[in-house]
Amino acid sequence: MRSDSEPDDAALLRENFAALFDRHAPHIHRYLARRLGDQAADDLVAETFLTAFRRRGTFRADQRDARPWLYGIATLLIAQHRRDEVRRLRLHQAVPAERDTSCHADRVAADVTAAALRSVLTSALADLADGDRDVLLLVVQEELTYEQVAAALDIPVGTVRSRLHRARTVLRAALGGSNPLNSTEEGVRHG
Amino acid sequence: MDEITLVREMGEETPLPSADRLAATRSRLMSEVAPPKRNRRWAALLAAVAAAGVAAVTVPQIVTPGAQPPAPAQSVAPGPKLTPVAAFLDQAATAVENEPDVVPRGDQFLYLRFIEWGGTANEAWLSIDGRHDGWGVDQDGKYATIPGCPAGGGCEVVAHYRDDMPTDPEAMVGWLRKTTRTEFGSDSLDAVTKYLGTASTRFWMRPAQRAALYRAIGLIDGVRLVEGAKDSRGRAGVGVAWVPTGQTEEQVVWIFDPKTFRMLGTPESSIDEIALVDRVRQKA
Repeated sequence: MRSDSEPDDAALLRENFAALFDRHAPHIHRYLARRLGDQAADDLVAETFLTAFRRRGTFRADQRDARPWLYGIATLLIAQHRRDEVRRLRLHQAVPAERDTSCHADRVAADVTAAALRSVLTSALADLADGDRDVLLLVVQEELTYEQVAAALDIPVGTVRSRLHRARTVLRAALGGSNPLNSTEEGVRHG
Repeated sequence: MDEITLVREMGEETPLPSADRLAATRSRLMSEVAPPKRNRRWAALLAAVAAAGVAAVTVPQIVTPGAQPPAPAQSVAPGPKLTPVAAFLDQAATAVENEPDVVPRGDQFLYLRFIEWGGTANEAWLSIDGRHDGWGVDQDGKYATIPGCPAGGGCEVVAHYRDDMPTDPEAMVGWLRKTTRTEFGSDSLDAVTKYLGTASTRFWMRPAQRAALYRAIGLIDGVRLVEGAKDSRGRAGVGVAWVPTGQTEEQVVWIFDPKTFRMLGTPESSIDEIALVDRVRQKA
């Protein structure tokens, strides 16, 4: 959380772009790395901020926080690398998580279960519609509110809700059908 | 364990990058976005002012007049259907048409004053007929004479008013192509688009000419409006942006006042004054 005495992002965008980079680049890089890997993130974080600089005229002065806007730009760039993302998810699926061979049999069993779960999860993520995956990851991994996701992707909040619902339904089905205990909305930050 | 927890845990496996990892990106980025240096030639500076944002844009398609769909036969004198951006620029053109029609004399000067991003002001006095010495920032960042080309001087005359500039938007597209070919040796759409950016401030234009220029921009496929765009001084307006074919990134090129439809400038530079004056260093 920033205090009110710190300049807001609209001011940084105009006067101190380096400070804007320092404030947000780590999170944008991690988002890109989560979806496309570290190497791609190195390039795309630069592209995200370069695009932000060129488009700074489109940033509305009443928005204090540029992070959702930056997530939106990053997501557009990810869209140009959809195939890489899906390939990456399917690769995760094909390569089980490494196991420590010296551990106890129970642990091995648990790891195998975890690896299997991971495989199902990444496969299901790869199968999601692109827009649904964008919303799911922005809400769950990046912890954006529904309103922030709506602003980032330039879509109505209702669409954010419906995409998230659809994504969860697909994942839940892939992970073994609907378990009533898992069907609560808990664990998702509401916008 | 529900699907949300699993997805969250998967994300948590990726840590935030180290400062070292970001350092190279940061320095590369800052070298690209640093405020423009003053040691450019005045002409390059003026071109950059007007074309800011255009330079990185690849070729949008210009819709030639012949490519417009014919009006339905049953309509009575139907106007062509305007896209939102064409409609907006049509309003800007209409506003311009109401301004006083001043035909400049050859010995006058086009006075330009821009406020660049960062607050630096730049002024220039450009000879209307190109035969008189002007005044502007030279490549050392100092104000200096912009040499005119006297009659019989065997030099290239760079005029800043063209009486052959059309007043019809479709003819304006043709004129832009022809002039771009002369200036850049190419009338590719890329070159035309860049030239279109510079032409907006580089010439004194009579109202009908400027109106035609705005309407000509409306004929370019891929142009769109951006709400809440701000010029270098933070003045908010309606941005006219190009979206290059095959790309999603739009480039705000010009920003217009949403009420008066006057051109405010670009995100990098705002127009403070465009006027016709009698002498170099005379302010409007």
